[in-house]
Amino acid sequence: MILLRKMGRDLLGHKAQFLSLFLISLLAVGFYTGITAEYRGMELSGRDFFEETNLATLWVFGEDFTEDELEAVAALEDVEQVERLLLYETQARLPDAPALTVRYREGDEINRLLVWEGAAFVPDDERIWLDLRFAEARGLTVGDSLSFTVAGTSVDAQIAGLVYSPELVYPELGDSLSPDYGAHGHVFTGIGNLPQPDAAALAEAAATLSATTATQGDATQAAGTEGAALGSRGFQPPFNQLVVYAPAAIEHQYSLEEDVEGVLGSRAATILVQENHPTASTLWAECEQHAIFANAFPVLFMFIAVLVMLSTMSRLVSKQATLIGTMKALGVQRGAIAAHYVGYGFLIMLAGGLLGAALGPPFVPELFKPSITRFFTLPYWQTYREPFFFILPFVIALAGALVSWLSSRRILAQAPAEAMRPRAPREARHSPLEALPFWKRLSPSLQLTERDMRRNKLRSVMSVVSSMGVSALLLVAFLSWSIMDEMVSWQYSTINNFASRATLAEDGDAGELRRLTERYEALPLMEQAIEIRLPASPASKVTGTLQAFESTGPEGGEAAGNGSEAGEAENEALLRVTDPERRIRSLEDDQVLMSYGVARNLGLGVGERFEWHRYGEGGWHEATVDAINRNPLVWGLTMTPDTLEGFGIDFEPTALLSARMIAADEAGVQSVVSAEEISAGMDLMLEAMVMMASVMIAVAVLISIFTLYNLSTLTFSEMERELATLKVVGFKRRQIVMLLFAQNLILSVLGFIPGIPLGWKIADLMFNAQGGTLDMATLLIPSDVLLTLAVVWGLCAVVALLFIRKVARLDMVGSLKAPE
Amino acid sequence: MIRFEKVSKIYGQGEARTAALDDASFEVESGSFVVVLGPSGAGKSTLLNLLGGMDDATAGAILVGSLDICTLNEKQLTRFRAESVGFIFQFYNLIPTLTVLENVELMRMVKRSCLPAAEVLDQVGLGGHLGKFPSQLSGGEQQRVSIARAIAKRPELLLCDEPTGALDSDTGVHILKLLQDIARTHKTTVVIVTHNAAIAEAADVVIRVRDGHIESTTREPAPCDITEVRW
Repeated sequence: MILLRKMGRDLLGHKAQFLSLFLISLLAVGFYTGITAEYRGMELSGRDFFEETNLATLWVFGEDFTEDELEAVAALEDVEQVERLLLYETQARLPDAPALTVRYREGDEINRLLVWEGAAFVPDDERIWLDLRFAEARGLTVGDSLSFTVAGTSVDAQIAGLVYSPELVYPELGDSLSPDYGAHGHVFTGIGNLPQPDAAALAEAAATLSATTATQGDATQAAGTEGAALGSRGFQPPFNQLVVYAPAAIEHQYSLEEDVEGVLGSRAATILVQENHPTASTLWAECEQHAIFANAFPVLFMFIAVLVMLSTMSRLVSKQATLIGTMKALGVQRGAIAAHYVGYGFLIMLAGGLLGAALGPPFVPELFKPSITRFFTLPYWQTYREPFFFILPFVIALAGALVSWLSSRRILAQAPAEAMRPRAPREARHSPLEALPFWKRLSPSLQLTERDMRRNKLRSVMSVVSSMGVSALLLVAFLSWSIMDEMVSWQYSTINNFASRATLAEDGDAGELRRLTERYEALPLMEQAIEIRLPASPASKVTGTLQAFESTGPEGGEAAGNGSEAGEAENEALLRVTDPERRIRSLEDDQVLMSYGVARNLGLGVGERFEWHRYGEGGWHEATVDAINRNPLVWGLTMTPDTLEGFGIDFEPTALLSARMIAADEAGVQSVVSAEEISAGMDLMLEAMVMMASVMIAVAVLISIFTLYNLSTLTFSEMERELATLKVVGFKRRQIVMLLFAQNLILSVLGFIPGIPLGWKIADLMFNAQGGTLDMATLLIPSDVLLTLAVVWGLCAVVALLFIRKVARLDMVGSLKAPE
Repeated sequence: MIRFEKVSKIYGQGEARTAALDDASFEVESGSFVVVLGPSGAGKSTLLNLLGGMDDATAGAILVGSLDICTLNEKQLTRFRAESVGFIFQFYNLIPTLTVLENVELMRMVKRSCLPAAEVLDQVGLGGHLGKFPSQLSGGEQQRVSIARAIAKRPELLLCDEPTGALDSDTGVHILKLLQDIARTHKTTVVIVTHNAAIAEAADVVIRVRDGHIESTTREPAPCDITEVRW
């Protein structure tokens, strides 16, 4: 009990050091548990939702799927259920004519709808169910009517319910890259409600639908092409999608895909496995990215905390060596004394950790919720807690205890008389630096700093290592910000050089396209969803986008193909292509450019062969990687219209790019977005990451201040007598503070040097593991390196300022008389 | 000239009030070799600390020449210590990470017109130890470095708190001889606080302190050489 009182008083006596350890522990555990609670909560909510609604294991796109085909797939091993659907793309009769995907369903066993409001989904009901976010954005509710046209037949259906669909967790981002829930609705209804139109109307609809626009990762695109079947039967619904539910095959989705291909052959135009469906892949990618933040940084924080604890305890124990000897001489058990000193580290780290575990999970997830819920639609956001959150503080406390024990074991092992004997001051030694010609020109204060650092190696090493951790942490945080900025600038200044982008209406004709192109001096662009695979291992398939547009490079120009400086034509181009070094290059005929991300994903280099096809296309095209194209948003292939036609595919533009603003009401134009809107959408998309970076910067700065303050306190305490002497002989307060500042500055630079590659490596790991299809080049941006150095030095200055009062209050008499 | 006028240093209040120095008055001439004598806890170190501007008096005036240091603020006191005072401590208080030469050169940072460090160290007999660290020197040698550091500033006042307290008698004599010579040759007022009464024989002025009061101030018209003192 008495020792506990002593501990309490010692803690108060060294409150600055112990408070900073408490706070570092709090921040580390709070950050880890908070981010873990956030991403695991999101992961859990997603898994539960997918499980509750039987998210399909495979989506098969094709034409006129028959009952026999359904049964053949259903008979495959591991397959529990198969359902057929007809997806139909149309527009709602609402202001701005939003796009509408109507899903005519046979049942509701796979990709079940979770009703938020209204009646449960019944396939036989003549009413429709509407996705909740579209309904909210459009102010629609249960009982309202929604009108649209299906193959020439006008439909006016009553809304029976507002629903969450497991296929719609992640929205189509459209041209603006930001979710606009009011721009695209999803209707769910029974297949019995499919109008039975006359043959002529169906044939016309088929022609329109076949010119569908495919966008990256959008699995519904193949739907439109199947409209052709509508007109040719008595009336058999032309199902264009099979959804397969095989939870037992979730670990081997690709082998199930092969089985389905084996059964359906070329009837399966495209098969999408669950892990590639955007509804799942983007959610898991987001979780994965947050997991890296949650796991990497607290380890760094704890590492710093342990180092600070080691130096603090070493200092405390060596100051109390006489006391330890006295206690031993008085008969106090060595174990009791050891437990007493081990208790400091244990209690401080435990207290900070427990508070962090209590505060992190409820508060940190709330920071991310606004940006996450803007992109992800889940019916519930679960709060995740696990016992480890409260075990972790004990683990950390044990680490603190171990460090305390390591710091005290040498003195504890000594005989009482030896422990009580005053320590001779540590010897100073000449350093090799003194042989350097500039040494003598250094001021004595700098010489003093250099020798003091060498004399107190433990403290110096702790400072250097802490500074390394702090520098790495700050650099990652700054890089997170600026890499995102760089990406936006790369995309919207270097690659995109247009003022507006018009998505062409599906029913537009060649005459309108020509007129628009001439009128706006526009660049026609074709984009379509594709799959790419390696010939040797067909299972290693990636989904992506085909991008085709007219080459703007000089004919046989110098810039061609070699990634050298771009010609004038490229600089004036509305859409540019950049090489892996992000320099503008030309796009030549007969060249297939593969995006950097896909090439890396498939392990392909220039000159290597691969296969690709469009969604909805049966066979595969063979091609060679002629060059690598780096683009943050393009994940797939880029080529000229001529090259595309060389593969036997017609160049059918889906968008127009212009340096002028294209009028949205032009005939043949479905929608128009400005470059600014696209850029703003991108900013929104990166909001969660910006938030993460901001939280990290805040935590990094706080930890840096605590760490530097702590180490400076140790320096001050160890140099107290020397500082008092300097004060007595007439050194000004500013000179003494500058001495401390200089030491911190030097040590922080020594830590900063290895901290930069460390931070860069962590950032690269983070951005490369971010999943998804964004290619974020992890550049070591000099301004961020300088900013990191400035912040580290700035913090040294702040800490030095905090010491001004301490120096003013330095008791000259007390400090100098202490040895007596 | 140094003059203490009714100087007090009081700690605490009410019943806890302790007078480390109470109503102390004395006067000594510039260039004197002054010895302050008294038992432990008498108030001698307090007197020295007040005189050196290391501590604030509760009442009274301390005049060094025409300057009343009790009226100075912290900045002015720092300048006073830098310009006018040299300190020598019982445990030397050298900077352990600076060499002998650097410890003395350090004074150039507080007073530009310092004497050349090597020259001063030569004067105190340490010309051959310039590159050594304090821990490589004996106690007497360290105290010489401390003296060299103090006199390099050419102070008006050299304040010595038990300068021989940690030294053997022979070494102590050498150090005191050095201090006496400094007072004689540089016309520096040297004030030595000690409880070794024998030193009084070599002093120009002896101030005896007891229980915070100045018991007596005596002037020796013909002080003996320090080497003649019977230890």
